[in-house]
Amino acid sequence: MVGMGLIMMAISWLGVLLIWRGRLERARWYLWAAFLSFPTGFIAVLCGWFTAEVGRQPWVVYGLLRTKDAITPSLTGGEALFSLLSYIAVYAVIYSFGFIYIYRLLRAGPVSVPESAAPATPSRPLAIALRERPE
Amino acid sequence: MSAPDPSGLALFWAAAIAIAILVYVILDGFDLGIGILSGGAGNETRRESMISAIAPFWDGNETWLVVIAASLFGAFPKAYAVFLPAFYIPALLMLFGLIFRGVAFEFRYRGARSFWNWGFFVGSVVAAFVQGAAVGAMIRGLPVAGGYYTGGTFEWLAPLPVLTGIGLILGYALLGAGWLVMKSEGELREWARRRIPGLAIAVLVVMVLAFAAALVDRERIGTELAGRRWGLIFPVLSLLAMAGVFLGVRWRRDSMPFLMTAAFFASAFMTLAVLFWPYMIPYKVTVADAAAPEKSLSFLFWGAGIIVLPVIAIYTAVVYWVFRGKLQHGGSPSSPDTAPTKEH
Repeated sequence: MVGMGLIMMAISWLGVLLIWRGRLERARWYLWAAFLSFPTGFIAVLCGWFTAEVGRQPWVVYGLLRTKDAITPSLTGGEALFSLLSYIAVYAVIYSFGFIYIYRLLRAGPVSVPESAAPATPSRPLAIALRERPE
Repeated sequence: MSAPDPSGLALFWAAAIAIAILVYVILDGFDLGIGILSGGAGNETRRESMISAIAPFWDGNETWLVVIAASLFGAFPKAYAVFLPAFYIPALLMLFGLIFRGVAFEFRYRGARSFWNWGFFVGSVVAAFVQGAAVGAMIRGLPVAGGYYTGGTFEWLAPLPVLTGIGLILGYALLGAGWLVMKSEGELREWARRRIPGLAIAVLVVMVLAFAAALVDRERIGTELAGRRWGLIFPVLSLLAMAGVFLGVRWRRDSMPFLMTAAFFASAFMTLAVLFWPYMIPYKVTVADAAAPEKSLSFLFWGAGIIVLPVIAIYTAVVYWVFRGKLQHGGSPSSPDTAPTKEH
């Protein structure tokens, strides 16, 4: 998590330096580095989460309650396995679709974005506000 | 057995949770109901209008579910500790249902539309079913010993919970149809209005069957209602409200079916409250038993109770005020030019 934070800082400060020198748009290596840094936030969150959860064991409330004492008495291994596998399945479906849609947006590029995401999709409350406003 | 009376703060939180449940059921009820009805929308234009009728509201409605869970966890940890293990699989299925239908609002405009239409419909049906099944399992009485749930994984698939689950699917669909009549005009309004009498009759039939199932399966059920004959006013009110639903269709009053269905839900909810009181987990854990220590309740009261709850109530009210009136007919992102002018 800390390492990712340092990478993020290094990239952003380097970017400031390049802007200051007026070379930001032409530094291809830097633009690639900025592009490839997109998962750093996600990796940082996961690492921090793992550190907290694994580091706290065998306590669930540090110094007060052991993990083995905190478990739900009626919970069966089958239920836990079912819930874990179904979470994985549900997120796999949703994130796969999400990745495809994000990929399409990236492929389309910034120019066509205003057209592809029209301001009046009914899923946006704003769209209803625009359409429902009395004359 | 003489249980201690709940403290004032415990009563405040019990009332807050009860109100939040009722608000949730009516508000998320109509948008889940429209998801249920969307399975039989027939064509994409109608489905589009149906989704437009709930687009500004549905996610705000679901915040009430968070209020319920968080308040239960904070104020009544012992009830939470029975409720969640008892409904481990249903709670999971409800989350998946809500995830799929929630994502469908956004994803159906980006591709694989029929898959997400299906996700919107099935997610709504599943969420409604497990909520109803949980109510049925509560009426039937959960097996609890020493403060822990001792039943099996599928307690919620007994005959009575299955019937109440189906009943809630139909009840939510009825709320959704009422909402469409209130919020739309023209073809969609007529389409929704035609569905109301059949749905209302189906709700009544399932309620009668559920009542019979409860009588057959009554060894766990408490006898509180017998000692509170005044409580019978609520089932009577719910029947009157249901009569109002039919009259609203006949008189062609646009708001009446929805409001009467909401009144039906409120009086059915009060019937359960009279049946369950003073229990939070029916016939096993009372409100006083389940309450957190006074210090926690008081801490929650000064933070969540008098600041967060009013804020949620206010933004809910503001959203409904901003988006009041009829939905414009036929608007869709692919054909914004077909939207005619607004009438009032």
